[in-house]
Amino acid sequence: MSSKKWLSVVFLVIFLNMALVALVNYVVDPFGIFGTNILKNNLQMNERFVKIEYIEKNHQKYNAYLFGSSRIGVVDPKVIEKYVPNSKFYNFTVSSANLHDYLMHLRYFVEQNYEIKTLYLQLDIDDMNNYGQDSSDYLSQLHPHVTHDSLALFYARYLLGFFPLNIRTKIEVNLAQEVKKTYDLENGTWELPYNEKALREDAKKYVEQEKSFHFKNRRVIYYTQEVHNKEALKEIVEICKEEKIKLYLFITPHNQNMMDTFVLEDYRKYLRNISEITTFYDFSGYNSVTTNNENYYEMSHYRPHVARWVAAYIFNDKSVNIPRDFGKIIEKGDINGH
Amino acid sequence: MLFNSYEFIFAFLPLTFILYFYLNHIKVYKLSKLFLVLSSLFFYAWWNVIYLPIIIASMFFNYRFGKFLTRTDVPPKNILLLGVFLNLALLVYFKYYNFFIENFNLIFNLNIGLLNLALPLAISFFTFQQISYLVDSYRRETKEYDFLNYALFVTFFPQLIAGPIVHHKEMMPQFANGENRCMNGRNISMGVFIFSLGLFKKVVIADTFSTWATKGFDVAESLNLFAAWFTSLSYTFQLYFDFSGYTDMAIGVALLFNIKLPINFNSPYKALDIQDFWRRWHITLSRFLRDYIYIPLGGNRKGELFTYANLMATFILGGFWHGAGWTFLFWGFLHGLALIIYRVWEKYGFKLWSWLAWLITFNFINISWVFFRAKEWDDAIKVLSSMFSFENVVLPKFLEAKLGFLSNYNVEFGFFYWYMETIIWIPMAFLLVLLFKNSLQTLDTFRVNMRTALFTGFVLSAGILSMNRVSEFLYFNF
Repeated sequence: MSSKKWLSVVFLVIFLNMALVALVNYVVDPFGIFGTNILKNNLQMNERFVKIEYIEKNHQKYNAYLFGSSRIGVVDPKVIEKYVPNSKFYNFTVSSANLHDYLMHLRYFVEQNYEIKTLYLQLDIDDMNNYGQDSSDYLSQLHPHVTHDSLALFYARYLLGFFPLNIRTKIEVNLAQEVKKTYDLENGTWELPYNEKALREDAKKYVEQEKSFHFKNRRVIYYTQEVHNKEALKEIVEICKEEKIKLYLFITPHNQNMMDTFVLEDYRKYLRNISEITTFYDFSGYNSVTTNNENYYEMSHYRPHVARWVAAYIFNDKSVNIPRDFGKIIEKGDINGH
Repeated sequence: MLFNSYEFIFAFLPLTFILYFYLNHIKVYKLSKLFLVLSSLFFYAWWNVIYLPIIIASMFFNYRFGKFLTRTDVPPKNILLLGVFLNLALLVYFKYYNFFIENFNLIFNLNIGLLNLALPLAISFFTFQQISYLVDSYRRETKEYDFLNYALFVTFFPQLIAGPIVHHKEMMPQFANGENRCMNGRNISMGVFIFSLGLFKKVVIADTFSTWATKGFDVAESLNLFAAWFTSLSYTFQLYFDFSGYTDMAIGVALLFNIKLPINFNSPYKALDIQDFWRRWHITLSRFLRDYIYIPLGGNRKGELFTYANLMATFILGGFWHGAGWTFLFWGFLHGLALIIYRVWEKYGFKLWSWLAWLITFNFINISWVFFRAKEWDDAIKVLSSMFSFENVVLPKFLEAKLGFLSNYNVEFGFFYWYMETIIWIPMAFLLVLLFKNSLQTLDTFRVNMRTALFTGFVLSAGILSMNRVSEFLYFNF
């Protein structure tokens, strides 16, 4: 066999394999990029892409947004609309989001002249040691319109990647009877109906069986992205001022086990930096909500009733019975008493 | 630029390959070499262009020194020493300054500021290569080549970043050889074949093991007995597949240009003693340490005690070459000590069964890698103490029905959280490193036929399709 023929066979095999992978990626669509919809249930998808696609077509329906990581995803927009007259909120939760995402999306919305009167912004653990996303994290790539990159190249990366785990998971989710996670693209929220049902039926048993509550964590989360995050928050606050957007900023109620991962001195510095920039509400720390695992699906995500307590505190709704040690407003420049 | 990146495989490599041979085809040979040097510098600068002046200056300086040493009838030793000193000074400044100052501050309770300098990529590799050039120029063992050949010897992109540490004697004649200017079909096939194996080792095997190694070393607060062993073995296999994968890729890419790089790995985990291991692991580094440290120190020519002292010094320096930290020094010390013990053992003619010799050697290597990998002493102690503690034994829950009686002996039954999959991957890795031919043995028997074409096609596709989790090579840090 000649070397030329040998190379032709190698390249042919590569081409056929790639074509096969591209076909599977397109049909299964593990990140919801192609909108194929043959497998309808998504356990996970690239929310950054899917939601921008949705908002580009439907932005006129909304005039206010919830920004945050997946933790804010359980907040029903109606809960906030109740407190903000004439508002129509969209929950723009995206998984593992950090201030880079919020800034990029806010810039994009302003650039596109989308109407925004109110921004309900949640900050959390991801804003301490992260800024932006790893290029190999396919769940978290920003929409190319937001980054001003090529849409064709973006599709090519998702077609030609090898995602056995994501493909297997999506097929399993679609074959299974139980729907573990549902997305509502109309209001942007997600739900865990299976977990919620199990918690309502027997919360103690659920907590006992949920592994993440029982890990012994180390304090490994340092405030490594101080400079980037501080600058990004400053810019967000300035954009809101310029565009006359009412900003509500709060720190998420991290579960106690997640709080155990923070290096406390760094966490205090993180809070201090935010207070230098703007007023915010702090629901983090060890309080009666965060130390009760029954308020969480796992150590990372709180349940919808916690979101209602957060909103009731921020909007001073006395009709809601909020645990007394839950929440604190930190006026700009006044962190010392906290 | 990483070998396992889209920009390298689909843009840089094909373009450089085509243009280089096109320039040779139209017989502008100097220009083709210059093009290869410039491409290599572009490849180097891809990470951070600020490193570029350092490597260029180092190259000019060493070439001039080498030339001076060759041309003088009786080369002055002081000039050689000055050259070596300046090379080492550059390395110490960028790589070891902070380490020395930190320890100086600690001992004398001072507060001297540290340098916040990024370590220039590949500085350990190109410094070693050029020191050997200076020493050999002094010994009159170099021929006089022009600067272009010398620049290509230092910068040739397949070996620039993480070796193999090449010797001018094996490289410069190849660059000067006119026969290497034409495309060679067999070399291209062999190059693509070995590159495919390397890519697969790196992105499919090493990167999978890296997940478990990272969790065990850096994330977990504590480890049970099995988790600790799976963690250390994961790193042992990650390091081997990562580094030998990189070397295979380097050898493969160089072959496309008709350049043969030296062998760097020869199934090191098959070694039956520690000396054997060092003849199989990072062979070009061992060769450098032997020729330019161990032998100049006196080697084994000055009696037994001096031999042991020389061995220890060589390995401690070898450990320090890998990184500016006490854990690296300790790792070097352990290997030096093991070699001394082995020599004494051999002197008295003791013999072991092969399987026992392998078991002891492999376990020593696996345990010593713990110090090599750990970021802090505490992490090393955490892993090692759990590997040898029977107070924290957790077996998988599904065994509880059959082995429940063991709970009377403090054995717990629980979930094998993050390390569950290692139960399959680790035995597979053992099979690969112990029972199969290594990549270079496979290359020796390589035939251009349908079987190798199909195999290469599948392996290369798997590698390319797994590149979506781009990660650096471990040896880039050294």
